[in-house]
Amino acid sequence: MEKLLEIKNLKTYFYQDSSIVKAVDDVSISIEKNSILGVVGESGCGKTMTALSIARLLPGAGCEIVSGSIRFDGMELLDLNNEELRKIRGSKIAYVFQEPSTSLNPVLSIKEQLAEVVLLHCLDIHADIIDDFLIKALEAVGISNAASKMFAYPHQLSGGEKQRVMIAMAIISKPLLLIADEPTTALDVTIQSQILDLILELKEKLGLAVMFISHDLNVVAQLSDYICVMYAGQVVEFSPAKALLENPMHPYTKGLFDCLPLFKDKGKDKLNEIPGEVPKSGDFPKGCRFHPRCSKKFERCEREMPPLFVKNKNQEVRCWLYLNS
Amino acid sequence: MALLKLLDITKFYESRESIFSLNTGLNRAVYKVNINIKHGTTLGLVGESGCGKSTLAKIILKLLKPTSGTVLFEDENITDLRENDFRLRRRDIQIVFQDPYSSLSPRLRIKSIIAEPLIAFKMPPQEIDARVRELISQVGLNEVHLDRLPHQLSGGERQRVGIARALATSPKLLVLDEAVSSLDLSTQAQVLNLLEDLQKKYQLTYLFIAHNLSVVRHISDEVAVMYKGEIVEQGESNIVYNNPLHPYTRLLISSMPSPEKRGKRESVKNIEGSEQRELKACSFYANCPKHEDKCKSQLPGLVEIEPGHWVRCLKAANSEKRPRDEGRSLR
Repeated sequence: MEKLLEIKNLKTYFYQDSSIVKAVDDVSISIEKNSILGVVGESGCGKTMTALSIARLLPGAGCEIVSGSIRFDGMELLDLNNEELRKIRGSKIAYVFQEPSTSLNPVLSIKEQLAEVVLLHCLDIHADIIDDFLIKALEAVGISNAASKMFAYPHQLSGGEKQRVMIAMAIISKPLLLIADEPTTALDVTIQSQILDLILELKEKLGLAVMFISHDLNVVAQLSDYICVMYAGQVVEFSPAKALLENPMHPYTKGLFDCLPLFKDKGKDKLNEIPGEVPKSGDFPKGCRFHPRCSKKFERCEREMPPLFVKNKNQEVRCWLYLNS
Repeated sequence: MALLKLLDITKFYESRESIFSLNTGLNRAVYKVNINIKHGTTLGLVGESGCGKSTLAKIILKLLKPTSGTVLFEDENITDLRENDFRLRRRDIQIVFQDPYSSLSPRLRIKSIIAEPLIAFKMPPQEIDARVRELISQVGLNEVHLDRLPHQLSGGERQRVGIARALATSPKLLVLDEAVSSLDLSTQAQVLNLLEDLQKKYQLTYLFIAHNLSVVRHISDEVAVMYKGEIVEQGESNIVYNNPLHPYTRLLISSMPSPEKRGKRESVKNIEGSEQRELKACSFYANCPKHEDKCKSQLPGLVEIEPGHWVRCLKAANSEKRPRDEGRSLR
């Protein structure tokens, strides 16, 4: 399959006072066309910073991409200047964020907010047909009554509807890549399942590539074609979803699966836990960053950072256990 | 013995179109809820946002006055107790909040946060220090944390502090309002295990409020499912999960993300937007995939369909028992 996005050795650092926080440290991931890449990890592991680095939406002050390469659709994004990048943001690469109520502008109607995207990115849409165009866009994301909802303000919509509007806004310019950062975390389960269905449907219909970031292992497992597990600013496991679900290799990935309370369990048995806490960025342990919490660590783990080993052709895992196997 | 009994608890909120309008409407937040929690057990309360879970918690803690209904704690009616008389009771009922970031005062050191309820209940000052040290070790932290400020702790550590503070007065009932929802996966498992250990050690009774069905199943002996202020299904956890009978419970369960649903796309009906409800109809009527004509004109009551399994649904009540293992394949 053709790669749409290829990130290689990306490093995004924060410079704070005198210290350096390595938010994204040597991350390499790729997304094929028309596929969903799920990125999982706990808070502070660098998922969001990786996503923001792609279209350089980093939070200014003291945060910069130090090195690496981001190839997207034949272009090197890191070589583009701001003006050139602006043409790609929103039109070829679109984002949907976690909190729909804070992402939408409370004083503009849905129509005004959608129209803004159209005017900026879809030059071929004429002003006199814009209404029809917007209604179709809202209907495409499953909003009933689109013709009247179009004039509503964000506070008049429910959480699920707001997130649908966000998705409509993201896909209205027919992007190639949709980056969804925890898009369902703030929603109820029944609404979440509808939004997940919608994303899957859009991927199939529009041939979108999706980077789906979540801390919920189940959501990612249900949706993704590929799964990338991040820990402390690094990719620790990256493989086709099926292979990863059947055979998680990294002790951290295994640990995550083990500490999920299962729906079918009878309850009241102790959950397996991963001891300790995620290290604070900027204060990573030496050697493998997971070793203080790992039950399988040995001497080398404390000394040396493991590289990503490639197993069974396309399963990548960052763990010394897989050195010779 | 039931430690806590809720009898027909109902709470209406007044609502106005705008602050200037004279017409007030009533919003039904909780409607005729009956719950018993036995001593030393956990009742899981599940439901989506806005279904009245937190209102119920506040009523139990007497932070809100119910419109009608009675709360019995150890067979004593606490609903109408005056604040002064309730003070002594208050130490028996404590709460742990969802967000460990906003529920701890950012300017107090951890030891002061944990000591505060002790001071409020007039523990002799010379004993406080020892009690705080005891509490901090009970929740799996150590004494170096005592001199820290909340921002110096991680989310999991803060939630442990929240639990320590709730335990300070040796309560009998702990209300856990989405207490693990904002935690990371690995920390969530740690805190769940801690809660279970504490329950065993001190015979605590929990009201565990959450929206995550797997977590609720894991920790609860009994579950109650709420929808729009009403309890729609209630019973022993294994019975309800193995044989969910209310269409809403089934919808919740089938909406849960899981690896087993890979590649499948079943369009769940959009259950939003149909808010106008008729007072005579079942509250789930508009969204129910199996509704019949009678559901529109008849209010379903909570019926015991099999021993210990209560369902508020006319159809389920009529079709009597179903094979037990239906729904068992659901994850």
